[in-house]
Amino acid sequence: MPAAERSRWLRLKRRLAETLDVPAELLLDLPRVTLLGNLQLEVENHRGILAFSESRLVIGVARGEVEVRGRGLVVARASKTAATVRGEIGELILRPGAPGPT
Amino acid sequence: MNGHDRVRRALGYLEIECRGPFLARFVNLCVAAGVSLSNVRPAGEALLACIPVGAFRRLRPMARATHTRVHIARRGGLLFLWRRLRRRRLLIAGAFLSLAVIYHLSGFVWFVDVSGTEMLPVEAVESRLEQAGLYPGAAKSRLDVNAIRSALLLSDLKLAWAAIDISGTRARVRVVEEPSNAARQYLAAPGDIVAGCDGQLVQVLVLAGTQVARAGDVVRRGEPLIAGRPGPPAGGGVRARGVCRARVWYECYREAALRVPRVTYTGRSFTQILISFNGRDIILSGWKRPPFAAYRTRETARHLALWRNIRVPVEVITRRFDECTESWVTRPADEAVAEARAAARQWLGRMIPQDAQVVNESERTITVAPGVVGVRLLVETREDIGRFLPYDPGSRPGAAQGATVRG
Repeated sequence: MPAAERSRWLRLKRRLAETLDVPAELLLDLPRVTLLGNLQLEVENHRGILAFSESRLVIGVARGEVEVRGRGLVVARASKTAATVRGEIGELILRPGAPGPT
Repeated sequence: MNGHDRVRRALGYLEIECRGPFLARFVNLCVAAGVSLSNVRPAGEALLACIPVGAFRRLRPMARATHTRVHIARRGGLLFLWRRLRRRRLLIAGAFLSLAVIYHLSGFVWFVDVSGTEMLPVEAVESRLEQAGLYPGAAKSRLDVNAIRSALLLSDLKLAWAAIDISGTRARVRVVEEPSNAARQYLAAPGDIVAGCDGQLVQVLVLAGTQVARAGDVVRRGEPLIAGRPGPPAGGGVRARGVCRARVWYECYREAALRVPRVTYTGRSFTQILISFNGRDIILSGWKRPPFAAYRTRETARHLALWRNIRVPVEVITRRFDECTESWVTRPADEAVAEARAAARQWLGRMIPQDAQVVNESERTITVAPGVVGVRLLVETREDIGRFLPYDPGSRPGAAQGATVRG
């Protein structure tokens, strides 16, 4: 799908979500990122773990990736729908880019 | 971790160590295949993760696809704990036996506490309880509390009331004794109500007898307020009864000096340990005398007890000497006044009866001499000043022994 058409389609979906009061992450396939202080991060609707070390974790999401930097990072739980990261979270970077792996 | 995961983890889990070139991809494939991973963390070049016991076999295709070597680093959970315990049958049997013994022993009464006795010895009550079936070691299932209580009241102990509560392995027995004959006679003895202290009467309420003093009268200690009538109780004698409330004033004066000695500890200390045997002290460590000019001493003594009350006449005494310097300091007047006030209040607190109602309080501070302040407190109360005075002083219980009875 050409980029212009894709952008128009996205705007339409966004307006539909607002009008029908449907959660945006369902209709627009968006990730939901929940940060609890600097101790716990939960990413719902993810596309898998792209890179993993004790100080850096990259999680793929639709239309980009989420990078977490910190210390003692541990993936406390990983399932098809959500991934929970625990540890001392220092930075959280949302990097839009090419769609992440499915 | 949600509740479901906690339960599965408690039942049994495996901690796996994964090594390979595509660890992130391996994790993603496991997640996509529905294998629940938890506590995923790097360990050097390897990856550690926890999986349910039943999920280990399902890792094979993902491991093959990503060239990952997986091996079990640790096993945890109740499943593996049970496997370890199965080899130690006596431990399990011992644990169950202990629980069974404790449960069995909790079905008995082991402690009997008796309270409320005044003239009766506690041993007498305990003896009657034992005869009725309540004693340390009695089975709770065989105890009839009502029957024991009835037996206690009907015994020769002359009890007015008794209550028995059994809580756990402890039985609490509360009793109230009947008044003695002497006490009964005293409660019926004729007599007057006299003033227990000086005051100005505000209310005289006569319940029995003849009113002598009236509201507004100023009375001194010992003056009659309500008159009874002499004679035997059954032959016309009257015991005066009533309430005589009066205004009573209490005054207290205390002084405090502005210049006071102050002790300052230097921080240096010296400890001496000695043994005291038959009145003789033997120093185990430390010098005989502390090397300080001025010091304060703290002493603790420990006795050697062989068994309960059997004591050996040996004491280990630890003496600590803290060096100090004494100096005279001039404190602020407020501080001295507060000390004098507190001393005066303390004395008044002891003198004023508990049931007195304080209606007025005044304070006056005076400088007695240079460097000395005084505080005078005057407190006005409303209280019942009536005190019963029998015509026959010998009728009071314990009068023969010289005891004082108020009332």
